[in-house]
Amino acid sequence: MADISDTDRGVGAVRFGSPNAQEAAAWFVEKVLPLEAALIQFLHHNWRNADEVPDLLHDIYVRVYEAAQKEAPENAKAFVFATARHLIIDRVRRERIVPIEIMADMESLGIAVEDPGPERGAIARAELRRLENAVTKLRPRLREAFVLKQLEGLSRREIALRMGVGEETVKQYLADGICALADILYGETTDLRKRK
Amino acid sequence: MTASIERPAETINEIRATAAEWLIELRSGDSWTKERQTDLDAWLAASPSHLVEFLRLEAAWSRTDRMVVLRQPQRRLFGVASYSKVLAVRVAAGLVLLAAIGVAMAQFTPKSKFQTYATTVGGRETLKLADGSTVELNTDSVVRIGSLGGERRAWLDKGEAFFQIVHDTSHPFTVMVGDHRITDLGTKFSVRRKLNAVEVTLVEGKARLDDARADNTKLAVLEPGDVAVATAQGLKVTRQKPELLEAALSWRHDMLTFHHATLAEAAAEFNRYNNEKLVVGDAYAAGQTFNGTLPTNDVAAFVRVAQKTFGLRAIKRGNETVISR
Repeated sequence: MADISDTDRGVGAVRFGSPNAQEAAAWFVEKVLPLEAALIQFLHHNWRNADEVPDLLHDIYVRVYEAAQKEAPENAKAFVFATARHLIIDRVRRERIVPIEIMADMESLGIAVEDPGPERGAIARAELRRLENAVTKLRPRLREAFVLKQLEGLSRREIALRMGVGEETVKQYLADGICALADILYGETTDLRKRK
Repeated sequence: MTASIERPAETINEIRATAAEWLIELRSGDSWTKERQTDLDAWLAASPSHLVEFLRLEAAWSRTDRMVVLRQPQRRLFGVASYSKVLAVRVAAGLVLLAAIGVAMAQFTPKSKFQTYATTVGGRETLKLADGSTVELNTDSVVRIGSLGGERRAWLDKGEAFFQIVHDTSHPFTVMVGDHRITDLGTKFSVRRKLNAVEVTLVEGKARLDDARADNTKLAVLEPGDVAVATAQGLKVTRQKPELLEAALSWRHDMLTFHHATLAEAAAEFNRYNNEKLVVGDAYAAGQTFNGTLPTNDVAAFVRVAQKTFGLRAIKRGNETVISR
């Protein structure tokens, strides 16, 4: 419909070796990342060491991405959780740790995975609220740097002057900020870690 | 520890930190080079572990790109202070803005030594004058700067400029816009030359507005916050809200700020800054109102707002993008 895509500015950073790799990346971003919060809940229920959940999550991502390079699975949700189960079973076997029962699946955990509805305006507004909410959760300095960059469009040098710190510090604030934001937007893992 | 996945020796946190550094350098660096892109390519290709973490952070960052529509400079969004307080004055062609302490102005034809400065569409230049004053030239503008009979003088021949003048009683600074003259006594102001009007945006100080051709008729004494809108027919002075005055000057930070602007107005404003022109294709699209701030050169962001926020279509034809329902 529209000739100009939303990714005009964004995805150019990664140059993919093959169309498959590019499709796999798009599939990963669109279908897999939105499952992160549910996946983290699943892992916390099925893995006793909460500290290892980020590692497990990462390994699941690598596995599903590599599988998708061959062929994108039709049902992302089913595939991702099946991968998670297999990974846990593998680890239990190889590490000879006391097996735990993997019984809880998404449904029994009552995990709802958001499916975007049809109304575009409402989605855009809900997304903006989500983003705004996520940004308010950042630590103050990270938030300030992030807002100056993304909302006010200042350069790193201008942000450094405004915040009274060096440019390298600004870079660190922005890097820490986007890591925290990704956790909040996709996983809310910071909250889960605290709960432990 | 990992059973089935070949992962680099780094920990997940190290991979994430590196991915974040790459992303931030890419998205906020002043100089992203081919060499850096090659380095990034190599890092991403080294392991799918690198790639998935980078994709995840980049996706999160891209989601936040659309947050620019939330920016409202008049309030302290997320506790971050907005731009400095700014006050504006608007004046039409045929009028002169004189700084407060009225210096009697003789009329003469400008014959002087001067230097011409010009910007292209999308350009913005800051000129530092020998006396410490600065002139910031906005997109597609022409200014001449020189001296005349001991007076410092600038001619705004086209476009828009923001002046911060170091006061010197013995050498007043005047800005000529067509037949019209603005004299500054330590004030900060912006001047925009339109087809049939001159707009002056006053930031600091006090100014007197005169009609140069009518023997220095005093029209108004302007104080901070006053906005004078003058046409050939007359002059209207109102006190404007600081946020609107501030918005009018956001171009100094390469941003455009809109308050209840229609999409048509916003598109016209964008077109001043970009060779890639926006065309609003129908009345429905033209009438959508819009609040927010976008980079002056980010036509793509404007198009995204039209698509995402208003559900409009955008069709690119050559260097034109037509936005319609």
